[in-house]
Amino acid sequence: MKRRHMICMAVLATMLVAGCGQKAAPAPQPTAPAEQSSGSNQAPATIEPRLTKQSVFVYYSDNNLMELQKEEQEISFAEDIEKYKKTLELLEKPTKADEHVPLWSDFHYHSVTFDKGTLTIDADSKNQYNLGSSGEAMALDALKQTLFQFPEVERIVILADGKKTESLMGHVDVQEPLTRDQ
Amino acid sequence: MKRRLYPLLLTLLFLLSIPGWAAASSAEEETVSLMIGGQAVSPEVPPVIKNGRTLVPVRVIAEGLGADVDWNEAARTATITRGNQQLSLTLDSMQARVNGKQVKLDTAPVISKQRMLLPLRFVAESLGVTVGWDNSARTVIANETPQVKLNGHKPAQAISVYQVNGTAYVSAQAVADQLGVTGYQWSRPERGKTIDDKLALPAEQLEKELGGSFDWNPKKNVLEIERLNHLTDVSQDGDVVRIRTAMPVRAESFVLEGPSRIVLDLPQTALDDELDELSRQSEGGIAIVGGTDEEHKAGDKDEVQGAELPEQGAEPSDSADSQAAMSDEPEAKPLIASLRYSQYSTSPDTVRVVIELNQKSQYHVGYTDNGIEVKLTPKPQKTGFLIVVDAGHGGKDPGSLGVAGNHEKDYTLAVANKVVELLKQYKEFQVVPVRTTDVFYELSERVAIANERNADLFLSIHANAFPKPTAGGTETFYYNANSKTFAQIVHKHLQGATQFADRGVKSSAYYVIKNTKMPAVLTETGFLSNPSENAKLTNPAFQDKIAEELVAAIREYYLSYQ
Repeated sequence: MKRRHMICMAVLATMLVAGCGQKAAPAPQPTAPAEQSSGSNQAPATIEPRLTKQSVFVYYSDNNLMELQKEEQEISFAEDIEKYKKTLELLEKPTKADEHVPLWSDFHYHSVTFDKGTLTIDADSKNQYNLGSSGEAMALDALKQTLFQFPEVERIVILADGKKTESLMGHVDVQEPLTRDQ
Repeated sequence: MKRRLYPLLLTLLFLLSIPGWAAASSAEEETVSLMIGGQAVSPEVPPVIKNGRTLVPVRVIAEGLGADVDWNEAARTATITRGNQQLSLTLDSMQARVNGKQVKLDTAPVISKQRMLLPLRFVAESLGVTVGWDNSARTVIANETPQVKLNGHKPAQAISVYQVNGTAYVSAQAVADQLGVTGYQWSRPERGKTIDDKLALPAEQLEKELGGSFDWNPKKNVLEIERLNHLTDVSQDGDVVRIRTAMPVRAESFVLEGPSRIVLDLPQTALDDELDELSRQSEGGIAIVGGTDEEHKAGDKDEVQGAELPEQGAEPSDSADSQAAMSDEPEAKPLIASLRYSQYSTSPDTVRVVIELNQKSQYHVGYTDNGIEVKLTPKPQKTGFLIVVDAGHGGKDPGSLGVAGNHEKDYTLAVANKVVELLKQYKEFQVVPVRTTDVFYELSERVAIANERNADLFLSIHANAFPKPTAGGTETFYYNANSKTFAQIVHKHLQGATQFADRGVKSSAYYVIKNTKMPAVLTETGFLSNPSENAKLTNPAFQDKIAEELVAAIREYYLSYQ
């Protein structure tokens, strides 16, 4: 049995190597350990980070907290996770400051992570939002509209200090992940 | 065929031995260790992590997991067979097949240093092999899934066993949960490993912590856990029921109706010899505490396994729906009508204790070193049309900030207290405020206050805020369909009182109006961020007017729709 395995393996190894020799093997992508990284990974100095530019829609309130307003802005990022972080930053920065009011300002988070369709934002519980229920509902709408433009984002999970929280600002239930159909 | 390839293999081995051809792991990649079948494995092509997935050479999978691998060059597909499980993966493709069924991978197999690397977790799990990730040691652990026996039976939920250098690490929480010791504080967690973000302790450490015996047999690949608890006594002292067990245990409790009774199931527990004897002498194996009780000779259905399912979701703090039932019962009757126990199941061993009630009661389950104490209190009874008034925010949560430096929590409390005082003047109303002082309540607690009392209306008072001081107006929210009429009436009165801009009645899924069962409304009286509105909202006379109109709205709703 064991011997058979060995032979089998040897054959396989042979085939794999033989097979790959013929085809131009795709260069393995530089691996960026995402969730499993402990941070000690040093990027080789020879590789320049390639910046991707992308235009995104970002949502704000009108001057009277009645309707969401859309703006097109541009972000540039090297790694995918930065795409979300840059976009979150833009939620605080409308270009038309006289017409559009940011629903997020001075928003601090511990981390933003993405795994298998779920974008998790671990907010700092010390954030001061200073919005009523109407503002909280619209702020979450703006967040959803903005982040769900990325097709890979299927769910948004909001935590406070790493834990599940009933609500960010005391009105809207955020215990369940936010989804597109809500 | 195999023989013909043998010379080729030798050639290959020769090639491999040429320095720099296949060896030399890249220093810039963080290393990942492999622990396969309890042994550390160092493949010549190191594993890589991609999208948070560990990819390992196909050889590691084949040898470590005892699988056969077949490579189809034309299709660039590896087919892996182990027992009657078969899966195939294609280079650079997210599509894979498991036993003929198509599944989607989140990481495609890749070529690295001339070797095909496969996602280990996917392959292993598809083959029925246990896999875990020890993040602190950066080690992937994979081993044959052992057979686990819990008091002689297959556990209801899987208990993972990871083998590391000859030691079996067992998922501690899964064991504790199923032994009924939920919430157990491990005394030596540092002796374990964190695998897949969960604590796994060596089998012998679990034995030290929990008692019983945890017998790991690596040859047979079996983990036998023997830890059977025993019920030693059940007694009643007024409105308290004491359940004694040999070891601490958490009971699963729920409420059944008709007649109202509290049921406690003790997992992995058997009756001790004495109680077993008593139960055998009783009809249906159900022993009654305090002598033979003729009324229950037949043995209710709840003690016969499989005869009746518990009502879903009944929690201790949410015991049954409280109607003002039993009001014609004589007051002198004790809360507990009868108390009984039985060996409800022997596979797995479960003891059931049933407390039958004369009157619907709330109950609190407390745990001691030698058992369980159930304390009963009669449910608060409704005396009228019950209104819960919720002053938004409070305590550590100030709510929004007014332009004068004032806080929303103070506005909501002032108005709520006025509303409560006014409502108390009507004898047909029963008023329950969520808070009357500057204290914090969780949103779930606010909802529970209303739902547990089976309230008829829920009114939550808030004030709005926005970065632009010009935004303003009165707005009223509801969520459930049963609340729309109440919302319209409240808004009509509230907007009439404030004369602020009319932002209308809107539906929004706010926690307190979504989760309350009765008609429920959340009012945003006006904007504290708007200087002119804030000046009015903080004026006591204006607050009186608002409170009066909110009460008028409740009166109108009560008179017109109840």
